[in-house]
Amino acid sequence: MTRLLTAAAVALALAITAGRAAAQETYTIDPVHSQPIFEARHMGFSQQRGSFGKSTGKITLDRAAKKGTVEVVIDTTSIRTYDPRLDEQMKSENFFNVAKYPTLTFKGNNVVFDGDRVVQVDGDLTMLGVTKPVTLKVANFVCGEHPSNKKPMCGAEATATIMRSDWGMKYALPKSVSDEIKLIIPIEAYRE
Amino acid sequence: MVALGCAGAAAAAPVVYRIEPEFTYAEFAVGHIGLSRQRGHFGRTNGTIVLDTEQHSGSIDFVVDATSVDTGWKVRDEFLRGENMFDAAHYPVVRFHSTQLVFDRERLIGVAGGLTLRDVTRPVALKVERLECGKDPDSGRDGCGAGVATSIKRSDFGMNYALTLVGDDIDLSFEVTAFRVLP
Repeated sequence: MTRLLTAAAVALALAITAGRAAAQETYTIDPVHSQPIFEARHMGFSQQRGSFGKSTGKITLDRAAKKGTVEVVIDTTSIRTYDPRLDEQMKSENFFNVAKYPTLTFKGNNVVFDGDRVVQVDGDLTMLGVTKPVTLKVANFVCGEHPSNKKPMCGAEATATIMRSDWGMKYALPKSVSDEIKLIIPIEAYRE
Repeated sequence: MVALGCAGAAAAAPVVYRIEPEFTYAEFAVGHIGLSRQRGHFGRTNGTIVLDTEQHSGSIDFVVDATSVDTGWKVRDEFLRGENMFDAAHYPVVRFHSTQLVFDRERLIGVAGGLTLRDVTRPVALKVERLECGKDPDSGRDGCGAGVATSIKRSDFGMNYALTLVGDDIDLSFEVTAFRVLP
């Protein structure tokens, strides 16, 4: 009986594994645990950070075919820094111009795997109406289940460095606010 | 020779800097359910730095307003302010007080001291990862910017709640801008 149950369990596990591997998985980003952070140098002697509190996104992964897609929409009005006055400056025409461009989007069309792990996503970032390619380096890609609600999910951290002038965001260059912006994006996403 | 002597004496005197709260913050990063690293910051900080780069001495006092915790999600901020975590109602500030400054020639590279969190004081060693001084282009004041980091275990300070969900190892980083206080 024990052996039969073990065999059944193994068969079930294999079926589930095979089923998962063959199918394309869709993940929904958990916005509160996936807030994109940006970092700029300010006046040559400090690093200033900000983040976006609201974003939505879907990720598809086909682990067998080593393919996938990423689509993230960030609400630019949800920008926050360490200072409310700076938030207003960031929302203004000088920077994100949120009245005219309430969202920025990232569309990843090439997901690069190293074995079972996602290590890179190549895509396009649309900001201020300008679309340019961006490569996200992905570290610590790991899947499991949420310990409380037991839902299957994956986590990772993506980083990239961009030049904001490439998207036409040129205010306060070169010294007051750096052109080079580092992006740090923690990701938690639930499997559907 | 006289002029050189004066310049030397001026440089040898301790220089006092006051932290500029608007451009200074304390950030923390912590593992969440083994899947991601989550970050938050404290927006309200204050402090004083005294440096004597010739004598390799000085002191750093840094205070963080525990109620100013900000993770971009109000539910989480309330949780962090609550009694299970920072217990900001009872312990409204987190403090660092230096005991020793570590120099490499004239460059400050590390700070040893005590971190007080929830009324528990533990020794921590801060690593000065970046230190740049110059004139603020706007005000013309002499200032310095520093990036300082350390790691702690929150359980060392009695913050033991939900260790299976929120990691014990906390990376702390301080982005500090300070301006010279003229004597």
